[in-house]
Amino acid sequence: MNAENSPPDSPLVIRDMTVAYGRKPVLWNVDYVSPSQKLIAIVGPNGAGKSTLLKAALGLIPRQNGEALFFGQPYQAVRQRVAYVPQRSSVDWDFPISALEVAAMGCYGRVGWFRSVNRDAKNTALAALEQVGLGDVARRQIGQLSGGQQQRVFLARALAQDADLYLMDEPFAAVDATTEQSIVSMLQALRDRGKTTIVVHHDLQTVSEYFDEVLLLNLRLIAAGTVSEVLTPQNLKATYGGQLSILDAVGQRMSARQSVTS
Amino acid sequence: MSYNALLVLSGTMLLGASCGLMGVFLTLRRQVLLSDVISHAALPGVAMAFLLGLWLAPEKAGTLPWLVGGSMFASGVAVLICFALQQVKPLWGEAAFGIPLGGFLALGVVFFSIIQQVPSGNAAGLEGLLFGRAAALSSTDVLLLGGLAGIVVIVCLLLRKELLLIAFDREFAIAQGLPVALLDTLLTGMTAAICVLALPMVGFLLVVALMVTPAAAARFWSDRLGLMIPVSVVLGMVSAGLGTLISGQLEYVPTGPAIVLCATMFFAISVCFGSSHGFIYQWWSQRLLKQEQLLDDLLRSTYEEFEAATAKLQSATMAPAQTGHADLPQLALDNRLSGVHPLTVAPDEFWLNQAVCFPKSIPTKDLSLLKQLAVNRGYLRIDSAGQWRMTELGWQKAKAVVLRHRLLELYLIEHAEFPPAQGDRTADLLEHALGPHTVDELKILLRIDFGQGVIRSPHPLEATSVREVAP
Amino acid sequence: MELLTQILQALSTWCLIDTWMVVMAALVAMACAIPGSFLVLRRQSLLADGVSHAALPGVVVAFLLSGLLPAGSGWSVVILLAGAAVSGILASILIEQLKRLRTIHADTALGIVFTTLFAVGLLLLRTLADRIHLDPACIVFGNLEVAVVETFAGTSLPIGVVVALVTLVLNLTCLWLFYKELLISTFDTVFAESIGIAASRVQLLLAVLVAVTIVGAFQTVGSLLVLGMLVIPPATARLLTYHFPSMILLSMGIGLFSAVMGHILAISLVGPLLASIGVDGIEAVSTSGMMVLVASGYLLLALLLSPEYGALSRLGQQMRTQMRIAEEDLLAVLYRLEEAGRQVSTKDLSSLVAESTGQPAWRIWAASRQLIRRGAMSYEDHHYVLTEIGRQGGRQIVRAHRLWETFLAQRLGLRPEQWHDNASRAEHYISSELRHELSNDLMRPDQDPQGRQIPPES
Repeated sequence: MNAENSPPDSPLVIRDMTVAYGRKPVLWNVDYVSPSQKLIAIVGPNGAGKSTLLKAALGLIPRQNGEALFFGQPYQAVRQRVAYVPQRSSVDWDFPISALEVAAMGCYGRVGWFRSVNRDAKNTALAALEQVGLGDVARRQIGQLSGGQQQRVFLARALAQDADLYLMDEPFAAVDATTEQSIVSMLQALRDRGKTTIVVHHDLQTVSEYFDEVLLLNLRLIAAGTVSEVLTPQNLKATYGGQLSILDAVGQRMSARQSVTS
Repeated sequence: MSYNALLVLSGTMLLGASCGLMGVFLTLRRQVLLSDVISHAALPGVAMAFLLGLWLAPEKAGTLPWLVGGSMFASGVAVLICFALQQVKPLWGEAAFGIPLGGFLALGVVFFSIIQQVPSGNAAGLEGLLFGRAAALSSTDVLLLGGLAGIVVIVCLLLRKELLLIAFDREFAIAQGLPVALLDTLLTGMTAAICVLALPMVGFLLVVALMVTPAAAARFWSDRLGLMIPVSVVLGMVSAGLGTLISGQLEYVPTGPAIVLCATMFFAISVCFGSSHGFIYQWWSQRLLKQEQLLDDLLRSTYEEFEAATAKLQSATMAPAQTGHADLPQLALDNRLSGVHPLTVAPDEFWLNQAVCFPKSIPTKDLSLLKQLAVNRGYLRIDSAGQWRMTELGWQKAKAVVLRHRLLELYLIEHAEFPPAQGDRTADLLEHALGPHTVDELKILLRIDFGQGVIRSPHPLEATSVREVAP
Repeated sequence: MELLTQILQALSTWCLIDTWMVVMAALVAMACAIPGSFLVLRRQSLLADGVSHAALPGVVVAFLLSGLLPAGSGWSVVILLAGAAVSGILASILIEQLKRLRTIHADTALGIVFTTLFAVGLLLLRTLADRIHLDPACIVFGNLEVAVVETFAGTSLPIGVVVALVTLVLNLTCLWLFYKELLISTFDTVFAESIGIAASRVQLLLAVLVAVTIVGAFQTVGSLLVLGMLVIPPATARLLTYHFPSMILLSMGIGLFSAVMGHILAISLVGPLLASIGVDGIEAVSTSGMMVLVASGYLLLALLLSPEYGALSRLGQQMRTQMRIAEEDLLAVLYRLEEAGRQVSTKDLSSLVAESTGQPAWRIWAASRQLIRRGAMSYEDHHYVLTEIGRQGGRQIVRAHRLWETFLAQRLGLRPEQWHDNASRAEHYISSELRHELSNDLMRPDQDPQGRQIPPES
């Protein structure tokens, strides 16, 4: 928990991070040190800033305050070791591209500017697709795949990145129970290979079944640690109790504030 | 200025105003670029009407009513094609917009290449449609354009409430039983009409500007629609009028570019000085806000300085009760129960006679300004000996500021589970955004009721480093 | 017939100039296909329009500079393209900056920037009218016919052809170099950002490519028509293929064919056509305009015939489904009659089918023709008799119907009067695997809730 004396090789260290949309803060002063080689869930109510936490840590949206270190270094320095899986709804699934090409995008970061995708990358991508059980639909256009398959294509892309830390935004959103199970066993396999995975999760019921560690979030970090430690009635009430109307009201005023108020 | 020139001027101003009006609706509906499609698609309409005119009524070919009719027809068809194409899955959204645009322009170019070869085809009047030539309009033309624009404006103003509703929340409008499809069509039709009517003035390449720019500029003056619409209308009107005058004075400047550059100029002015989002205005109000915050900080740190002095006095004279802050929840409870800060026991007048110390946390460059501000507000005064003293008003204000800060800290610690030190930092950030209403709410939430007093700080105060107590 | 000879006659005057025009137009069209494909996929088709306007000041300044050089030198081309690139960069930076003001949306920013830059360009042009020979109308509309006449000093090679070739090569090179950045940023901006491919940089690159392409084309097809070539062929290709590289190749091909066909039609078709309705003296119309119109024609064809999105192919698919349902309805009715041991004359049968399924008489008739042709039933003595194939088909439909009714009753708890209509619709979409699954799920029932026999699969 304490950010100051964290091990230097912790996959993700967040120090005093505040994030604002416009001027309205949506995450307040988050301090977090993730353990290594664990399956970690970020849980909280809607609008609690779960996705924002990941995006701000990666620098995809600006931080107002604080910093995020990956393996003890800023993100730019260790991009290769971190894989990010955005929400499925963030792309146009009508795009004329095959599952294989999407998975191959995982290798783009390694290939670098100017150079084109080589056969190695294609093979890596194909292997990743086979790993998620989509080897036989690799050449299909992504629009023809089911929602669960699309989600697994995204996972395959992350696997192709061959990272040490995986950040996933709602991988279980709108997938059927079978896909959910297969994604979970994939994540557990990743953990057993020594990888760390942080997943934005919306279903409190399954947290203790799927994950080792959990991070409770509602505009600020409520608690973080092993599932049994953290999921106490008190913590859950603090997360879902919704008694932060004033924090929200102040945030609103900060964003609306134009003229001089006294 | 001749009668005709005056008429042209007022006509263009009316059209500019109506463009400003329609532009607000277009911007709200995110359909700005539809006006691009509409205006460009007018090109083949004009050419077709010209050819048709040559064939049917050669003496009238190329007159304005023909051209306006033709372009309205073509624009309407283009918009329909646009909407139909958006129904095809891969072409949703803006991908479809370029298609009718490109196709209709091509049709127009082909028609024009025919016109050039027709013996009687004098395309002189058509050149004006490219870049706009208001001066060439006759008084009947102006009356026609102005009259039609006037009708559209009146319809639009009458339906203002409904049109805004469908722009803002379609689902709700449907639930309310509004004929949404009909209103959509009407609004698009009226947009097309205004675009086409403005063509002879601005030229078909630049109509978009009159639709977009005033409406975008209006956003910088107000977030309220009730105000955005008149601002946009006035900006559209003034740009059109000014542009027409300029192009009337300078022979080589077509009306279109002149109007557009005027509109852009007003836009730039709005971006800078607009009272809602204009950045110079914002910078200025941020500066004022910053000063206000520094003033609050000054009052608070002065208060805390006095408070520390009291504690020292008390511990010297009385039993050393409650100097440590070991048990925070207990302390919070104490506050709530007694509600009385030791400081309020001492007579306030005593402190009013003490010299004010200025904390080091306030930057030197701001200090003199801040002193001036505090004197102007009546918070501080300089006594006959040249010492800085607090006034009664300043003392009250300081207590309010301190109370606000501590309430917020307490709230963050108790309700948001911030560690005390972090609560202090976050409260520093937030307190200035707290209105009196929120302070009352906090009092109720924290169950604190103690009349005029100030509560104790939930964490130990660090000694502030103090500047010399000099004027 | 007369029209045809006139067309042939017009074509017989084909000369070197015509060939150069086609080559130039084709090169431009192919160059357009590359940035155009990305514009269509990024839903920024009007960016092309914006940039085509915004490029004007750059072009004017470039012309002013190249006026200082000796005529017919290749450097003027370079200056022109550089001017275009600069205005493209300027326009996209301005747009990005405007977008950062939170009240301005992308389309509004585009509208403001391009009209302003165009107005500035026009003013420059008018102010410098005596210094440069550049007709604004010509920039807007282009003039392929004039463009081929300007050749490099001492050769018959038109400058425009070289400009178009340079543009094409430039576009191809950039595509080759930045293929994966362009693709990934277009497909998944957030992911691209997370692996360090900044969206704003890719957008800038694309805007520069568009600007260079537009300026490379403006003497040929005009800055406005180039918009059509940027958007229409890629949109057409998008309707025809799922594969991104083929989409680019296909749109290049469509561009090429549009150029060739456009010129042929421009010089041959319109003149004779107009002459036949009494308007004489039209020799040829604008090739560039015809070129875009031909491309629009291809798009129309694709909209009708595209296997996935085409209106006609969808209509055909719908008709085939309707026909299949009618055939199945007919078989099911015959099977039920046979089950009840009844025989009905063909006339009564069609009214029975029409009544119970709501199929129109013509479709029932067509379905019966089809079934007889496929050997599913035969016509004997005023009534239809199922063959073994037909009986099998009918049995499966009835089985699906009754299984589904059982399912509705047992699993969904629907009321009896709700069963039949639902099952009549569903029965046509229950495959043999689904029947198997349903049957297992319901513990292999042999009677439906109304006590009727559920026939075996075969």
